[in-house]
Amino acid sequence: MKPIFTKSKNNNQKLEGKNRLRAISNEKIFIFSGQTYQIRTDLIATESKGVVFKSSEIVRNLNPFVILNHNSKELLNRLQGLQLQPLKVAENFHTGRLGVVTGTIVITLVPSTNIENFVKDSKWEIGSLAPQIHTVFLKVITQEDPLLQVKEIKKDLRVKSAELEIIENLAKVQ
Amino acid sequence: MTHFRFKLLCKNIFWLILFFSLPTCSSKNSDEQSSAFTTTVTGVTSSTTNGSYSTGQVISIEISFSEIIVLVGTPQLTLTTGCSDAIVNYSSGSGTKILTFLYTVRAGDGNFDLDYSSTSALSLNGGTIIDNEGNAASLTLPTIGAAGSLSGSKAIIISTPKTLASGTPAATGLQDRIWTFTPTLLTSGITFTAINKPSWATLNSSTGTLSGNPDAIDTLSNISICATKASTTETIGSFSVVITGDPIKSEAWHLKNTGQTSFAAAGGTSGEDLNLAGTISEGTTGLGIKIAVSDNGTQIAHEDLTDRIISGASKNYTLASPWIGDPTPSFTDPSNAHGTAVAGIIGATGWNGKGSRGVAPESSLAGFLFIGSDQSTDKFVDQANGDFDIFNYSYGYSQCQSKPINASLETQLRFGTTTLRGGKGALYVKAAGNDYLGSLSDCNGSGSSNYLGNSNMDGQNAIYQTVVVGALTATGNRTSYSSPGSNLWVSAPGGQFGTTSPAIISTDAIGCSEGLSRTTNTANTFESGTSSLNSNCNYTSTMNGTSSAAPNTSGAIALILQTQPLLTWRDVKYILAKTAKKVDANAGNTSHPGGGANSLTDHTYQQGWIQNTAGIFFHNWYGFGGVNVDAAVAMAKTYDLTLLGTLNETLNNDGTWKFSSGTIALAIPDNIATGVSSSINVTDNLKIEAVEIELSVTHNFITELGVELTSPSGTKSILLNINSYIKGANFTALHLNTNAFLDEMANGNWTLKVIDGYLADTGTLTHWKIKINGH
Repeated sequence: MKPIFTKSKNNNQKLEGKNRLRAISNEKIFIFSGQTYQIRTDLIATESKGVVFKSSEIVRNLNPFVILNHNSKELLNRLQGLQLQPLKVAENFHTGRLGVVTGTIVITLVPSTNIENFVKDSKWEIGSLAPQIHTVFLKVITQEDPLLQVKEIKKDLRVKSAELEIIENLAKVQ
Repeated sequence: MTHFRFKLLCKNIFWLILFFSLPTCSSKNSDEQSSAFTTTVTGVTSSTTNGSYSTGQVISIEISFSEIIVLVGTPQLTLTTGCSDAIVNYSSGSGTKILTFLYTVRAGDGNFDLDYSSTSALSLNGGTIIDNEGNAASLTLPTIGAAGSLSGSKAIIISTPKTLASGTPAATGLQDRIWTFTPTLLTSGITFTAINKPSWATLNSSTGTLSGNPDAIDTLSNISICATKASTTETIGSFSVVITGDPIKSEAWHLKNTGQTSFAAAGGTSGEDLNLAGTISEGTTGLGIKIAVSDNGTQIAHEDLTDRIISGASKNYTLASPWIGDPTPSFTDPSNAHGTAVAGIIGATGWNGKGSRGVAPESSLAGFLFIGSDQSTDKFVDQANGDFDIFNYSYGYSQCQSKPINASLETQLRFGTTTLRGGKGALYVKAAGNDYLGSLSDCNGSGSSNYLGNSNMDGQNAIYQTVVVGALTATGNRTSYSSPGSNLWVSAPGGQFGTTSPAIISTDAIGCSEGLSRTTNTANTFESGTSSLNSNCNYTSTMNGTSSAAPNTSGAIALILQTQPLLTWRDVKYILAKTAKKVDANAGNTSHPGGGANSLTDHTYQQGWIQNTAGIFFHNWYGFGGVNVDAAVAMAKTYDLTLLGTLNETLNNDGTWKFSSGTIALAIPDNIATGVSSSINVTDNLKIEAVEIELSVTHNFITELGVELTSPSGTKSILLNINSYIKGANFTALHLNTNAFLDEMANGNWTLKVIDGYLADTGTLTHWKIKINGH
């Protein structure tokens, strides 16, 4: 019988998770130069039964996706029919947790700013607009550090806030 | 074709059988022979031209037989002509296949579509009708109203002068919608009676009003309302009513719970439903209300949804911005039918002879394929914006750890509640979550043990702008999975799993190879498509979750908004709360499901129903209780639109929260119920709509912590239960919401208590603040 609640195990899990997070967070280099991969765990289950990823290959479990690092690449290449999608992960500084970098910078403008003028003046690539909440979604510049891009954007006095979007979890149907 | 040849063969041997008097042929195969030899009625019609006929006019009625028949005597045909039937004698036709009866219209007769009284209305009257082999013909007539019947083939109206009452009843009706007819009185002092009165109808003997709520698809024939004064009796005319509806609606316990099983092994409890019968019967159906279903896609071409879909309004967030497009997902994965089922719960088309029916069956829907996209912020914002009255979110995050709301989404929800619907605010309806007992292995980590979810852990659930909905079983209790939380507003039917206990009936991906119901699904015969009620597998009986409770609530809100379009989003929330049904009424305090070391002495783990000092009941499992549509609609009809006034939040001018503890350092005693308490004096005197807090705690294992808030008037709300097994260390500005203080006054000391429920690790309360939403 599997226990419903196991206090000691639960604590151990948290420690493991915390240590792992710290270890990954220290690897700042992987954020933008390391290649990671996203794979749906249900595809692993249904199409590649028996495949077990080593802990060293898993960056983060973002149910229903699992983020795998470059160590898994060779293994992944041998799997047929899996939907692989290269993506990057980074630490969400608000929560201290890792998440997926979507390639979007969320910019909130000061309310008095004319969003059309901001877009017209912008040297950045516009993803989409949400004028009703004074928000512009910019695309990060490929091959450049987006955090530097964010820093640059924040110099604009019309910008109230600018943040690199990092998605920690995917919402799922209930 | 086979039957025809067999009959010829039998005719040829008929005389041989008689000659040799073979007893076996007449006894052993008597049923077969009877069928083969019987001459039958093939149809009833009239050579009289369609039209209206009055007293003294003659109508010819012809009955056709399958063979030539010979008639002896004077058979009779009974016609329905109002308060007394007309018995019409045979006129001619013996020796042919057609018998003719001549009906002379009598004074006082009436029928809006003349037909015979029953399938046995043709009687021998002492005579005989035989075919040319001497066999008695079958006299059974076609079903009244069906093809081949008199009314099915002709349109002959019998209308004689009326002196007492007159009028034309509707020939059609809708399941669960009031059908009514009131005759025009031509004089006073009339007494009315009815013949063949439908079981669902009542007759007012003074006014002649025949009215009722037909509860099933049906055809009701030969109804007559008779008016009598002194010695005179007249009919307003015999009539039929065809009731159209939805064939599997009778299994939709969430709409009307009669204890039906809904294809599960056992049924629920009669009356434990949305209580919407009165609202629907009055004709309130959500017409004109627009609802966005943001989910994992919707099959907008589904036969029971397509008429509800707003053209060009659906979105697919896997496409490029602006994401307008078909939201139909691939259904190879059965779970992708989720959004189709959610849409059906809200607004599956009613009275179309297909499937079941939505809560708001004439509302307008848009499907958003959002779950399945990368859920980037721009999409999160967009799926909460637009020309919609209600946004339904049957999704959420795992509650094994706190997940702050996306800041842009929160801004959008504030925009939506202040600007959409012409400034009255859209309703954002959200599933509470299915994490009552979540599995840690499903939640960002390994391990085999469980956690106890709290709906507040999902940041989108922890703000006042969201209507958070828990799930009820068909017996009116908490479902096994529904996440508790002080942030719940109401509960609604969500069902169990459709095998042992009922789930929710709704739309499913078309066909038996896709979606939830499919040939390989063995949950029950309905799901596998072997039931005649779901042979096309277009519907499911296994939809469940707070995902189902949310759309049930969205549909209910659509009915409320149609009733009173001027309601603000806060008005709607307030009406839902004030009219909610106290389900599971005896639910008392409960202990930790894990028991043992998870419990504390002198500590209440989870409160049962509490009654705050404003007299309002609240339960962390149910919010204010089960959605009660008829009561809510009734309240909406007479609602004072000025009742709540302007929303006031206890904020500073710069938008920061006004009332804070400041930096503190209060040690949280280890493993003891007394915990540590801190108070904040709120000086704004608002009538409370909701209370939000943010707290910061240092602790290596937040799983151990419980959080309670007590109002100035002494009501206690548990915001977080001890030993939840949620993950992480430290709370940093953790946002929690509680609705338990609705209608209490805000001014005075609010006391926050933090409890460490497990031995060994300790922590410190470092900061907390409080925001009152009220008026």
